Amino acid sequence: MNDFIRQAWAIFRKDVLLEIRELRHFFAVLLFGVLMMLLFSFALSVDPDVMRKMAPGLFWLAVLFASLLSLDHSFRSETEDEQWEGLLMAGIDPKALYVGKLLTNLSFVSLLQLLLLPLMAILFDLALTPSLLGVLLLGSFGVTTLGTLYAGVTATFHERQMLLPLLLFPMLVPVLLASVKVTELALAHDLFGQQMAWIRLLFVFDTVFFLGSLLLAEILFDGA
Amino acid sequence: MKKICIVGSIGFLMYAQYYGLVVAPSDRMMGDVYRILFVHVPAAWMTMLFFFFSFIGSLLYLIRRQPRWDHLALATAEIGVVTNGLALALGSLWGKPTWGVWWTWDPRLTTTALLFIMYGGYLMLRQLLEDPERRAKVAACIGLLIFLNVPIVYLSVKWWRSLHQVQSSPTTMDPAMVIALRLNAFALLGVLSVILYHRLRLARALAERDGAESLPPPLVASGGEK
Repeated sequence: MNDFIRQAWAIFRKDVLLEIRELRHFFAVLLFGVLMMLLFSFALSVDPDVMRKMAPGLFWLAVLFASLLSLDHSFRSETEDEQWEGLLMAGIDPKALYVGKLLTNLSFVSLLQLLLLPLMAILFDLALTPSLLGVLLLGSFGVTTLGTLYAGVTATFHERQMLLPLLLFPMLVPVLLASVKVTELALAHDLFGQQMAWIRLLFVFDTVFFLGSLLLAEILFDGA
Repeated sequence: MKKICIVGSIGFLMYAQYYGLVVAPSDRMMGDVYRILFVHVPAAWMTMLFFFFSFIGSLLYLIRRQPRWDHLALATAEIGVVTNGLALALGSLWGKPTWGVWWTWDPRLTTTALLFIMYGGYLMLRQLLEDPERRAKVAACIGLLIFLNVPIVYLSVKWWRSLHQVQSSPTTMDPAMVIALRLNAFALLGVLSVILYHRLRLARALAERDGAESLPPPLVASGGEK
């Protein structure tokens, strides 16, 4: 077990280091997220009241599309020069590889959300509440837990940019619905009213698919 | 025997359709439009049934690692996608005259549409993987995850908004309608089973061909054939 955590941590550290050395990728994704929120608002409405109601939906769509870029990127270093085989030969447990990658993606997406959230508040004139942070974490965990697994599966495909969203997004519908609802309710100060049911749903989704992905990573990440 | 199965199942389907279109009475509220249900409902049932078989195939493949379970998962998923598309298209055709709209965001509709996309993606993924063993492995995992997600998707969409007509119970329907519906369900199951049999045969043949191709070339024959 100790070994497992050490391996996952090593993968995580390696990836974070790579991301820090190539920070422009993070900023490109962040800009893309900002652009998405602007574009969605242009396309949908000019009425500030309507905008305020739609803000959580626009925010989560922007996050979803931006995370796609992060996920798509996340196995790039492994697919080059057969480094995936290298990791496995070095004795890395495929499950540890999955957990390490999940941690990287989760940090990436969470950071992205943290930066996009104030922007949403400014653009749509909303007052943020601290309870939103919990939702963000549950939501981004839901997106990245399946996202990391699917990114690993599609990493070697030429068509992955089309295939990854096609496979992933329909699976993430519960996360999207629940996250948007909880965000809406949190902004409307409905703490622990209707919110709880949705939070529970997110929690169930996250648990089921984290465990499922962890089990399947053993099979799927066992060589590209 | 094969021919008897094909002719028999198609004949039975034609009879069931005749029963649904002619023998069963018109509906008091919906007139003849309701007869779409004799295809729509069996198609929706078959979708669930075949996706369930696909799930079983995926699960058994991961446990046993025998190609035949992968073939089962593939064949049933393909048939499921077809009936799924049929159920969606016919449901939409029925919705317009009955509800006044082609589409509503009802949980069952939305879940069915998402299933169509998820299994469509599953089939596409299979197309893109060339190594048969890796394809079977990856497809089985994705198949499991999709099936696991169906109840969660359904629940989430249900909470999100809930117009689908509650199923009529057999007791409120004219007996001839019930018979027509059941006949059609079994007839469709019969035809699909025949298709499934042949699809499995095809999958096996293709796997054998690919297996034969990937074997090393035979050594120079010594002593001729046989």
